[in-house]
Amino acid sequence: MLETIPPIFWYIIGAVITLIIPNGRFRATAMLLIPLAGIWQLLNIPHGDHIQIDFLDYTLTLFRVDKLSFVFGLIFNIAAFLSLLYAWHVRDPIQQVMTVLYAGAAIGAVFAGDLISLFIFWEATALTSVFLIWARGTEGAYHTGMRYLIIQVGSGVLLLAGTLLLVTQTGSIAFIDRGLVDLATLLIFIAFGIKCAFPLLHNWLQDAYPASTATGTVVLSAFTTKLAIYALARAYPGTEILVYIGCVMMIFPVFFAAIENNLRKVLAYSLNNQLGFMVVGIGIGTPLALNGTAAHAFAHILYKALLFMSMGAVLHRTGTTKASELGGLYRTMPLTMIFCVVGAASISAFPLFSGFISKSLIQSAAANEGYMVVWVIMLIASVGVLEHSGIKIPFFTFFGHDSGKRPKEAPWNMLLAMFLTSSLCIGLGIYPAPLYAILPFEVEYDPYTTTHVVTQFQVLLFALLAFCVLYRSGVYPVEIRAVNIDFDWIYRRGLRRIISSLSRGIDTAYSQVTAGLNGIVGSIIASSRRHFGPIGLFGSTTRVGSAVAWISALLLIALVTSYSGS
Amino acid sequence: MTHNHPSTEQDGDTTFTRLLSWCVVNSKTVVIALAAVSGALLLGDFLYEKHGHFAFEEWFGFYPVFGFVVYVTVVMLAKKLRGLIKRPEDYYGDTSVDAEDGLPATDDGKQNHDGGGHA
Repeated sequence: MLETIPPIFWYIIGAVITLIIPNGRFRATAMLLIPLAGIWQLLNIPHGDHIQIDFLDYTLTLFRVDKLSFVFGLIFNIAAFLSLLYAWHVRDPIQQVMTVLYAGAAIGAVFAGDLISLFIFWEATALTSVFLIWARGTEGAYHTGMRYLIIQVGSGVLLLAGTLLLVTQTGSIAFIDRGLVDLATLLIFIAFGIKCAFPLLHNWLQDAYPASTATGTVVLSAFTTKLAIYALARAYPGTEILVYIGCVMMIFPVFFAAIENNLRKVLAYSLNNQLGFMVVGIGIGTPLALNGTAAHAFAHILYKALLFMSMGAVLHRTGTTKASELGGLYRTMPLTMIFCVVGAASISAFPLFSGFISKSLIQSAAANEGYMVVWVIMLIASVGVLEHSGIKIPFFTFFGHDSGKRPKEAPWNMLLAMFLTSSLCIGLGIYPAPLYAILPFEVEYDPYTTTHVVTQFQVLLFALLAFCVLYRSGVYPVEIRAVNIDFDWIYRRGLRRIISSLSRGIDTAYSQVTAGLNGIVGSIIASSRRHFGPIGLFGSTTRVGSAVAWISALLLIALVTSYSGS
Repeated sequence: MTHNHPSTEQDGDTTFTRLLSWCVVNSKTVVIALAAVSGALLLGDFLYEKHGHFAFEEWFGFYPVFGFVVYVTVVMLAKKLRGLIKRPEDYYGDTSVDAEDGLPATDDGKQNHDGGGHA
């Protein structure tokens, strides 16, 4: 009975109960039980639609467990546990509660079997997660949070619009494979695309994630975008345009990440690039490709969280994640450095690390379907990943130019969370069978072939060598304090400029028109004044005496003429 | 690469950090070692039968050359891109966190920075 309660209730009830516990280590520890309960539940519940409630004319399915939702539900619970452990020392009740509710909303969305429940949880992830950005507590974080909220809620509005249209057309609210066929499915597609950080819809990610707290970014990195991946895999598998969208996503963030100074922003670009791989997998849509997307999402959540954790620890201890201000931290934060390198090796897909056993499924699927160009782009993107996440993140933080900073090693709970996450990254890399067993489709795949291992080492080590050559020769771009503008310039600056120049134009035109009209009216007034004014011919007044003389003269003339005429 | 010997007062250098310090000081040796391993991997192409999806994968040295060339190209293109899009850190003013100095560093009450050294 207990196991059929939708997981969102575990999280809501858990949030309420933990608030009753006095704020301190007991509450922080009790919160860890919530995702553990979620994991226990998932491992014990049979697949199927569990909780259905009637709402108006529709049946809402709150707890649909199948192979796809199981994988994402499981990793979301694991991520929630690791994030809460990492944030164990945080005593800010807002962050505590919102972390739990945000994770719960994302898990609720994964298990939603219909679009209306999906919409509710979709918006709930936005409304809860924004508090993790505001938690930074600065003016900049407030504005960043507002931008984030507008975009996230906008995504929900599109989802709702698409759902309503779909209901009027088909009468069905089921959250199933829809395909991109009409306006309704297009609206839903764009809603998913915003949360998935599609190209040109992506800037909220690089804007908001680096603005959160040291612990908040770890939480944020796990859920929203992977929920979008899940939603796309559910509703649009095999939609070919996703292959090309994914290709753009894999490539362009690589260049931005390479020159970005804020290392948590580098990781946000890197996240964007990793989503590209998953989106390509969904676009290809074969069982192998979809397995690859699910496996890559699973592995990615762990190593991306690990990388954000290591940067969070650095932020926690030094107050910054700007590469220009960091360097040489290996001396006093060696454990954090090791965990960071594990995350870096995992995302770069070194053999024996998790990225190797997940990304290769998608690459093989692309090759099997004859997507040669896509396959090459994936290989280029993989070198790019090594560049920004594999080398730049650990090198410029822990080695590189010595910043002189000698911070203390991270707190024990951060270290423990990073240790567990690292263990999972390495464990999956060495022994991927348990992950492969829970993927949506039955597919035989062995990543550890001689060719695959050797070629992967070749491409990675030679790229590493290229870095050494560029760095030692001084060609590698130096880390400098600067921001790089991206597409969000359009709405943060460009539109504002257009609007202000438009308003300036309107202002000028208005004043010129009024000045012209004023001129006309003025000249009319002036000419009236000339003719009818005090000095004008018709308007001038004269003194009474001379007026009398004039009148007398006129009368005299009248008298003379009337006499002479008679 | 310069290396100013740090004073790690609180717990002293462990064997591990001493080893890393050695690598930092002798980074040239490390790079040469990396080059040697990479060269051996390149020659590894002769030792087994490659099974690629595409014909070009089976060319000798395809992957090593690809890795090296793409890496250099990515970095050089990114440098060009920086010229176009670089702005001062306070470009977006107080509507973004870019120019904020960062969050206060936390050492659990025990200060042990030995300070200074900003780039």
